[in-house]
Amino acid sequence: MKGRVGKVPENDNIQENQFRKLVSLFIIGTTIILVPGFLAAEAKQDAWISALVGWIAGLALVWMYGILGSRFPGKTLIGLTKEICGRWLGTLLSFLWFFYAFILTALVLRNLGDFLNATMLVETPIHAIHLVYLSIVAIGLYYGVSNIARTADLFFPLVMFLLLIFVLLLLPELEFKQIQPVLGKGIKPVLTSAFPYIGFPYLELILFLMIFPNVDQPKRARKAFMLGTCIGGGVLFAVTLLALLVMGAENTASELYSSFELAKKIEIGEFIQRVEVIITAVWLVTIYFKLILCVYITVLCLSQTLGIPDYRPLTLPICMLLYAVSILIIPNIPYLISFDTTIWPFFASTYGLLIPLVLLGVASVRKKRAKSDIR
Amino acid sequence: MWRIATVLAAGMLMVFIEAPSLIKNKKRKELWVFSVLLLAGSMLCITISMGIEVPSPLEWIKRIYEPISKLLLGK
Amino acid sequence: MGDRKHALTVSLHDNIQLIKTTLGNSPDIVIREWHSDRSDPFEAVVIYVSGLSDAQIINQFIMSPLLSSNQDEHAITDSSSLTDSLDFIKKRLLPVGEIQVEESFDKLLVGILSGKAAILCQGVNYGLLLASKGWEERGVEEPTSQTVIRGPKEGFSENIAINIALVRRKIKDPNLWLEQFLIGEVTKTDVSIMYINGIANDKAVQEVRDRIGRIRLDGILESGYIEECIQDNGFTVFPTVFNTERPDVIAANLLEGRIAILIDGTPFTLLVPAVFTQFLQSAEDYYQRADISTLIRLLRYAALMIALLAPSLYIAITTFHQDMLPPVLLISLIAQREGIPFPAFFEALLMEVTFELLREAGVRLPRAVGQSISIVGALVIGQAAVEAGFVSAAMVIVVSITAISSFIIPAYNMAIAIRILRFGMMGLAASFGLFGILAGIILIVQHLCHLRSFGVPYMSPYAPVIQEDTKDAAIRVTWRDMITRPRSISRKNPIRESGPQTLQQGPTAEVEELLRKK
Repeated sequence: MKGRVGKVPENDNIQENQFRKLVSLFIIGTTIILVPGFLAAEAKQDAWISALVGWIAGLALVWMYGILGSRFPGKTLIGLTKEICGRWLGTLLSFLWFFYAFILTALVLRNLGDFLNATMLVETPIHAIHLVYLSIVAIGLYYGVSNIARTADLFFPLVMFLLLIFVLLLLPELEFKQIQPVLGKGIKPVLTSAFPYIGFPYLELILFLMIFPNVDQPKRARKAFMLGTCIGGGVLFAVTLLALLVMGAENTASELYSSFELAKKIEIGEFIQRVEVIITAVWLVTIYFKLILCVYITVLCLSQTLGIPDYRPLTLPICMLLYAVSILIIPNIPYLISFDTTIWPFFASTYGLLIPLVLLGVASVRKKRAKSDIR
Repeated sequence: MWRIATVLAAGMLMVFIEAPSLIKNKKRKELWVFSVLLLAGSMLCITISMGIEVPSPLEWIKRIYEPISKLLLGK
Repeated sequence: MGDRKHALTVSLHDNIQLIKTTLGNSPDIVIREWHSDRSDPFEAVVIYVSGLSDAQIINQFIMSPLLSSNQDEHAITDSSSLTDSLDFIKKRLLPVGEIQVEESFDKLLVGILSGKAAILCQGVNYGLLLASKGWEERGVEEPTSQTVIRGPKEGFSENIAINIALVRRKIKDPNLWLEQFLIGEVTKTDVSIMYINGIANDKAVQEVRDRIGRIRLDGILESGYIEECIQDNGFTVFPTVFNTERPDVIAANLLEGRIAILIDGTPFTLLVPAVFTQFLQSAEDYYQRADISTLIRLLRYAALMIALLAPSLYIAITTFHQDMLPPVLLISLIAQREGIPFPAFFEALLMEVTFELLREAGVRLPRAVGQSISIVGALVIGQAAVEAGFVSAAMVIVVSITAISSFIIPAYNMAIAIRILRFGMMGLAASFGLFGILAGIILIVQHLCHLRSFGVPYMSPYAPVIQEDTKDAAIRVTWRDMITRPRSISRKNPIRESGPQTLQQGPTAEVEELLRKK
């Protein structure tokens, strides 16, 4: 399928409710297994307030992304970058976008492999897990992004339903005293722990502007973007709160995969054990969506940066690269934790905050100049 | 040994899937990019499977952003 | 075969020779000659195939009037020219319903071989084709494959004319239109498409016409040939064209805007476009009450999941996730698997393959023996295998439940697809446990979402979500609430209870013009 460079490949339309579902699933993605632990480490029993702060910050960011996206209807992130910055600077910046997407995708894939290795598939080599998931993603990419949207249509209700069951089954274990005293250590730890939470996942949402123009009702696309962020952020908030209330701040912070630990606390009578395996299915679905969207955005970024109309031929080699990089990218888990909490937020802010603001600024200035020129 | 063979086999499979249609439609740019990417990917995979330590790109990112992080977060 | 550019000549003798040699002097071609007494003798001939034409019709309505016209004073003998004579025969003499004038030799032959009788006359280079079809065939019987407890028990037969009539009896609206094709270079099979003008999507109808027109096969013996030729391209096990033996199912789908394709020689009719939920629906869902139908439909979906996943779940849990089972069950399972030499995967594979063999054998066996073999298969082999220590009893149970669940799926082609996928899932489960099963499910769902049938997304109305169409997919609302037709099939005429302003009740534009011209 051919498409004009910087614009949407033909016939790949997404409905606005599908877009909303994609955004939510992306946000829940890998975040849900890691974030409660991260937040609780700094903010202790106020981690839920951090989650709230991050959520609001995320909504503000998405609002800004929406403005940028709707200023350039029909153009993807790279398309509008090239338009604002001209050919040379634009292409350079586009490569940076590609780099951002690529690193993100490698990290997501590695997160998935580590998670499964630690919890369910202890004996399976991590290469195999990466290979299986990448294969499914590669096939999915050949079908196109509207197919990803339709798959989301089918899985989304299931995910939400299982999450609801997850929450309901844990209600008997709640102890409200776990979150007291509220703001016991002051506001500073809350804000410091909210910062990495903004980086992962909200600052990544700028990349969604690569898919933004595919939405077939552009006027509703911004609203869908915001709503999706609402839902995604809400789920993360709920799970964080739940983790605190059930396990307490200490336990939540001590485990890397806190929501998995949370799922272990579920008991259904005497006859079914290890229910967390079923809950893991939900995480696997959300991670699948985050992964396939990330790979799609990565491949699309490269193809549009280089001016190649059809992204499909590039899928397979990029998947091979991702496979390799995902293995070498992190030597051990402490490295990952320190990177995620100290470096990633700044790296992501460059792309998720700085550059979009600059782009928006330049675009507004040009618009004003154009208006005054007409007069 | 086995691992290198599988990497090469995977690479050839990819060529088999994509290259014919690219060549037939004379898409030189795509063919170039495809080959470069495939080569890079195969090289990396083989290097990893031979156990050689490859520096992670996160190192470069770390070098750029560490000072800022130390300044603002004080760790 | 070559290009038969033969034409009928004015010499009757030559024409008869041509026909005889082209048909290879087949003894079942009857050539009955006939003269009239005139000043210059009027020779004519009636040609028909004895097995295909009804001898009664020929004798009574063709031969008899022709022969008795000899006695009459006027009639043919009065005609000034030979052409007029043939015209007279056609217009005044023969009490037969369909009479066609045929100039093309090839078409004349096709007509004769379709059961029509041809009349050729000396000095005239065209012939008459008369309808006289009459052959032995199976009548309208109960359909063998799609049975219902409540509902009509008529099924299509092999004669396309009867099938078309059965559909017309259900829908008496003048907007039910019919188009005919002759497909198959050698078999020249009658293929018809039916649709309701004003409800069916015009683009889809045109697409059907185009795709059928593109078929270049020697023979069309069954609707399956056409199905393979017209289905959307796609490397898939799932069927994208629906088939049925029941006229009521055809009628219901026509009312929703689908297009039916009938093929002479088979009772199985095709319906396009088809979506996934159709293959899990039975005609009976509409004849029983809404709440019962909804529950049974949901049961079918559960059966689908069981048929696909049961052996895989068994393999995954017993190999990777033993701690998921309650301790008592776990101990019992371990005890059962104690003496089994194979890992769970091979055990499951062995049982599944055995069952597939049994199932295929059951289809081919003559009816008398079939019953006993199934009992032998199920009880003896299963029991013996358990006692010999090849498989565990739990495995036999799992396989049986799987088999029963797959029979609940109303459409056979969908059941086959699930059977094939089941083996893939077993492989994934054996390698990666529940993670593998999930990966397989994601793969299948992704694939299903990508399929289309004549432009309609296969997973409508769930992906993309079409709110109004979900009332008749996995559930079924009461008839009072079934106000709209499925939007994904056709957006023309969306309201079912159509008043005179929605469906064209009066004459169409073409008819109006004709009336005006007069």
